[in-house]
Amino acid sequence: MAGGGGSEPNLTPFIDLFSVLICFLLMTAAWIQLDSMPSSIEKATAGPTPPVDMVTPPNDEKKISLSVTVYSDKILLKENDRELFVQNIGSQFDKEKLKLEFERWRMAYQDKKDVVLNTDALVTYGDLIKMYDLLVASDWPDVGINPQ
Amino acid sequence: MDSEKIKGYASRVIRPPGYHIHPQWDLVHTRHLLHERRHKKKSFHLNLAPMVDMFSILVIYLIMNFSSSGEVFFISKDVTMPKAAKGLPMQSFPIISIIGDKVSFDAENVEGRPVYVEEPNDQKVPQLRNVLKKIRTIEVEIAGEKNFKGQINLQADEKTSVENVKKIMRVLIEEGWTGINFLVQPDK
Repeated sequence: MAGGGGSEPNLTPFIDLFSVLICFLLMTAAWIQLDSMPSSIEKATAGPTPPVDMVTPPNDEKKISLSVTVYSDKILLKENDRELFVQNIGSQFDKEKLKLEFERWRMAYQDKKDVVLNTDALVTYGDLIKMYDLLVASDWPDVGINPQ
Repeated sequence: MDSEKIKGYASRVIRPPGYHIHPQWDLVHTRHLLHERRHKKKSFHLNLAPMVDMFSILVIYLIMNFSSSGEVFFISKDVTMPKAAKGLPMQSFPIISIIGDKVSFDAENVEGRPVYVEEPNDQKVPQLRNVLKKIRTIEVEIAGEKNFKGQINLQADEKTSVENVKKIMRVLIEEGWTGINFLVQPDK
């Protein structure tokens, strides 16, 4: 018998305990699981480079500036002065071509981690996040979003 | 039991008549069972074991899905968060939501009371600036200027114009909140 006596254990305290546990877990459960993507504002908004005579020993990494600009119909990949446009396929990014370019950058600048991400005014927030995600997936973890 | 059956005086014992039909194959045990069933106490008892099983499964499921890093907060049904595969687990920071042409700020003050501000999303946003300044001042007073990271979560609909998002980003940077985290739906 569950209620008492006999050789069977009394299950009522178990039910009490489980009820309390379930109430606690239901109340504290995070039903909406979200991720976040941190942005490096300092790098994206860094001012103009200081004069040459103030700069301490030349460093290849400091000279290189990599940026990605998202337009509504194309993507501009800028590697210092070298520019490359990648046209969108319909309304989607040409992910294959972009990935190849990002991999080439990765191979060329193995110690560099940061890329500045610019956007045109007509672009949506969803496109910005897609490009951010693509950069992180292509091993460019330090993405600075330019707020200008 | 014998005292119930045996009555009368010692010289003349009256015994209640028992089972006296003795067929060739008397089903003694069946008769005994039927007798027991007839005289059994009518008591209802609920079997609790399946309930304990069910609760155990529920508890295990809820513990497996328990997240201490998540934050329970309201997302408007008008907002569709963008999806991203490489996001990091979200942390609990004040939240700025951009919904249509409005911007709202949701946080808790040091006393644990909710702070909520909503206003049109223009470059001025005086209420938002005011509340950002207040929270920043308090956090700097508590932890010091060096330890203030200016971390904030930003959520917006995927169709929102990036200009609206950048307006708020500029406001945040001007007020010293440079740790902007964009909230996304995990795409896994």
